Amino acid sequence: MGRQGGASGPAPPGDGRLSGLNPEQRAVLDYVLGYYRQHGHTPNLRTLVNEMGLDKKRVYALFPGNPIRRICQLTGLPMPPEC
Amino acid sequence: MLRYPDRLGEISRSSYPTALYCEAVTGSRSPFGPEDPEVILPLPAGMGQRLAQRSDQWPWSVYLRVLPPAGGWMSAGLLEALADLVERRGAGLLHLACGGTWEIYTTPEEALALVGELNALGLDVGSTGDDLRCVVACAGPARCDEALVDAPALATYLARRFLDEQQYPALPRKCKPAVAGCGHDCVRAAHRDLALIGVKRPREGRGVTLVVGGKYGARSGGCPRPARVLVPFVPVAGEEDYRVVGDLWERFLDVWSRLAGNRERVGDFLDRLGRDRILREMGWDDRGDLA
Repeated sequence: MGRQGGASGPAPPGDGRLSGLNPEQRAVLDYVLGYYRQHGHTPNLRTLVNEMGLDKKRVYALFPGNPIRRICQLTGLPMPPEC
Repeated sequence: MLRYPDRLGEISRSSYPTALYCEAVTGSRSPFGPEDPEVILPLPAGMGQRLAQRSDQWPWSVYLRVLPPAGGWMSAGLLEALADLVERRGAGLLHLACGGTWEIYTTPEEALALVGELNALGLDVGSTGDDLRCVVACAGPARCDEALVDAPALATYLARRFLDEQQYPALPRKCKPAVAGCGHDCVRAAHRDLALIGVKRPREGRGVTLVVGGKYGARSGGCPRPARVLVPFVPVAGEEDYRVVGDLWERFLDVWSRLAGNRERVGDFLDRLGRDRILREMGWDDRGDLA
């Protein structure tokens, strides 16, 4: 289960944190926030890639390093249970 | 007089800080820290950073893991090119690592250029983090009269098919694969997370056994466990059968990724779910057919 936020999920992060993001990055964050509200936890990278129909390399290009960690930093969501 | 080569002799002829090695042996605790997961490296995998408490002695904190050809062969030409590369852009030391990769110690400034030059030699890096590690294989029929399947060829097929899995980590935990040409298992496939072992059956001919969940490391709960049989026999008469084997790996990796617990290695996953449940999740029905 998540380490923070209720079942409805935390409020979307402020624009300050998201101001430098492009529409493609925002779409991924929107998807992850929606997933969290529905399931009570964040998706792992494989789930994210499969459900959004994205190329894994593209996700790495959008969020370099550790994409899920980066997405969690940006959204304020906890890491997935298995991480 | 012949003498067995000394690791210190090799290390001291490179730029590796030998003093740090001595400190690791004689000091009360290792000067090496854990790998830093927060370091954002330009490559998702294949490049790591080993932190040392004595950064003054450890300029070579970045290492690259080169994915070698299955079977481990290196032509004299490639050996020469690598030697030149490692001398120019690395610590002058090439480590044939236990996991099957070739490790090169280098600096953050040289690392990317080094990868570019490796690419020009037809090599690439990968096999770090929570991904499919380097697919190791025995020499197979190239050197062995016992070989039942062409292990290096099958490993090459799998390594190419799953290259993204080796370079873009998205698994619950690391997964070390191997392909052994026969039951002698020279490549220690039974120690590995996901492996194939060549077998021969009287009426069905040659094929492989899919074994999973070998776990011998520090976190094996004090009880090293060999891999266990998941699929006893998959016919492999030639290259035309490699795709089916690859499909099995793909299904297994998908099931493990979907149902794994908190950083659960394959061996622990198998203990928790059991073989029958995993096979059902992979698509096997009660009659033993794969959907």
